[in-house]
Amino acid sequence: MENLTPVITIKNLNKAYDSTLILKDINLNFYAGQITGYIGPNGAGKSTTLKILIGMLGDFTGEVSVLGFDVKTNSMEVKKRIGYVPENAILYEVLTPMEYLLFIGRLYQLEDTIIEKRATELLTILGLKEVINSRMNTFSKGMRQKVLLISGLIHNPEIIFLDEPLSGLDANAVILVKEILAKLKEAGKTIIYSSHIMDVVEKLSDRIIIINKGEVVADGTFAELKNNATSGSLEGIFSNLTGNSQEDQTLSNEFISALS
Amino acid sequence: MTKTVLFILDKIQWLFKWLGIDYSSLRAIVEVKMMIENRRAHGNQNKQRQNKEDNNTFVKSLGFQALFSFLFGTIILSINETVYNIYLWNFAFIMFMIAFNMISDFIDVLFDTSDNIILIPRPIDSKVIWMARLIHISVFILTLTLANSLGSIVFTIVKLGFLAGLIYFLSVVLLCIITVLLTAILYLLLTKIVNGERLKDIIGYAQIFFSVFLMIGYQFGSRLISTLFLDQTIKIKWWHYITPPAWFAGAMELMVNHKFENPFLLFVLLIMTIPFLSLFIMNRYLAPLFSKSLSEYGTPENVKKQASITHNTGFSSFLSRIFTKNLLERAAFTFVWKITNRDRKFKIRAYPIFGLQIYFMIKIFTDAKEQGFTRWMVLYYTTFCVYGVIQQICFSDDWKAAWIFKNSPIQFPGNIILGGIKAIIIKVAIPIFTVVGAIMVYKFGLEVIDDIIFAFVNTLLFISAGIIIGQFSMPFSKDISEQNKAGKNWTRIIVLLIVVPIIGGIHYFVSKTTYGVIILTPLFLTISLLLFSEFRKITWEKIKE
Repeated sequence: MENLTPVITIKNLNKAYDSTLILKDINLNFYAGQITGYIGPNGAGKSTTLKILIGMLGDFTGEVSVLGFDVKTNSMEVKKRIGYVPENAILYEVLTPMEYLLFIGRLYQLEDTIIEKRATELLTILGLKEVINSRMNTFSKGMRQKVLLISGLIHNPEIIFLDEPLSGLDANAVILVKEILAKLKEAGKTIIYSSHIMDVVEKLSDRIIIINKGEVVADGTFAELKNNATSGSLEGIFSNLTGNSQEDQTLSNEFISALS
Repeated sequence: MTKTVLFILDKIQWLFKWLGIDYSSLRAIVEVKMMIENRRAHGNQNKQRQNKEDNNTFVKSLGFQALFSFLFGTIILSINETVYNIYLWNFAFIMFMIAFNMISDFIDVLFDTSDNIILIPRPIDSKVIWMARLIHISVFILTLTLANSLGSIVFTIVKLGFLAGLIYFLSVVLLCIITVLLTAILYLLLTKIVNGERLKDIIGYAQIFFSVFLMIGYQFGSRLISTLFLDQTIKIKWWHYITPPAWFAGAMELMVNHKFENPFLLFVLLIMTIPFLSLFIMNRYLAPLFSKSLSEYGTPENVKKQASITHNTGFSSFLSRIFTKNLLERAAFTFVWKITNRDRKFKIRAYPIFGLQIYFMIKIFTDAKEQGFTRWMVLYYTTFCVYGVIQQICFSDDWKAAWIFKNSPIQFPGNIILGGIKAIIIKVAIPIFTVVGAIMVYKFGLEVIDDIIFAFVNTLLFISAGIIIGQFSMPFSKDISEQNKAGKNWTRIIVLLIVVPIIGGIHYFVSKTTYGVIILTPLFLTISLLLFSEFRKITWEKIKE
């Protein structure tokens, strides 16, 4: 793995808001055709890292390059080649899925006919055929999440970033999306996603990175992580590294006693 | 509308290419924005009721401004003056209205963050997003401005002929574009100096200032125009060269009276070059500032919040301990105190009515003969304002959060309502009466102190008499759009307009007697305190949803 050229390199990445450091000296390489789960507690810096990688945040120190392009100076080239699916299902609700996807596709300079073809096929596959021309304000969160997923992939990006891709989806859709991610990987796409659902991460990822308080605390395959830890499940490892299972015990006890 | 806008944009593609803006993305964004706007307007699908109302308010405001434009436009017909002088003030007014509309309604569009997450990860330059927003705003501002100038267009045609009308129309369109550009540049420069939250505060205060200015302007406007139009000669001052209304007035003078000479030629030259120049400067040097503010808004909020919490917690809880009697009241007191401190929209709704107070104050010092009457106007307009602020505390953007009241074991919600009213009395009524009182004492001497105190007590009495109405709302529990619904609100305003003057009249006659004020002040104070304690007994049945 090490002899390949990485598609993403992060060197000495530091990011601060005001005076608090959100990311502390992150060094990571990502390789083509891998699914990486990027996990950590709330506020650990997951979303910030993703936002830096997709070129949304420019004011950091260190070197970050995606597909050979520096995200600071060449964010436009980066954005053209990546897809991003945000966590909160925010989209223009008064549009129909087709109109929305047409809009997004045009921003990538795709031809209308290509967008329409892809959008129809993808929406049909995800079971949204009947609602292709209805406005999204009546959609459930899961339906919106599907449209968002398509909008992040419509330009056939090389690297795909997903922020909590499974939140709000029903059980069947979760299975389907997991299958799609696996297929995308087979097609040589690089996938980086964040999630809170540990058993999904455990099963889906080639590589797991755990981040806590702005620092990488674990990095490797699930098997590697397991070798270094006492606990057998990812949940246990996660809790060991980012919190403290002992502390969790006392905290939950304190929580109960504080109520009485 | 969408098609018209896109058609015009297609025709001026070269402009965007000249500016180095990717036209296809720009077109896509503008198209979607206009589509969304239209759907809001002609919503025919379910749960679009609220949006429909939004549209109605826009149409209503169009109609109102068009109607008013005819009243205003009559000046063109009725005044015998030089073309330049008439249109100088006409364009000044129109430019003011453009800026007012832009600040009050459309600045949100400029710094809208809701679609950042959709647009920023895409390969589009922030310049494109900025330009798309400017076009979006311009379309609506232009519609409003044409409504604003409709009367003037008609009267210009009547007085000076069709060609002059056409030139006037074109002038208004260009003036609109220049104003939008200048306002946008001003805001971009502000983003460089201050951060996002501070900027929103500044915009809020600008809105209050504009409303106040408009209110006072209505009072002084007619007098101002009659004093300015006296000599029928054109006097070009140095500042005319930097004020757009003067350029357009110059253009009108040049075209109508065929004065192909300076400074009018220079003015026309300015009109021709300034839009392009400002567009170029904005795009080249200032639009990057917008991308900075974009990413600033896009960042997670949790970090920023830490900075702005704490401080000033002590003062309100200190006051609440003095002025409230039980825990619920105290909770509501600090709750209302703090939210009214921080909610910009509350400030914008509640405080502009105090603008007229400034007008009355000026009148006290300028109109010697009317002083007797003005004195009562000043005092009881304060009553009116304080009552208006209290009416506002039930409205909020976060009205949905009010479910908490119902889910808490509150037996007598009246305590919450009373706590809120007390907060406004301490925070607004006492300071404003102190300021107004101090100015009156300065002008009329110490003898007016008893009148000021009596007026304050009457205000308390009037507020406490609200218990008789028998219907109440919890603080910040109602949607603002409800406020605009006609009906109840109007009856309330009419009652207010009748009752407040009656109280003022009583005060006037009582003050003629020797001991009236001295006897009635403690009596009314006692009554109002008793009425206030009745608030505590308000039950849930009397709380309106």
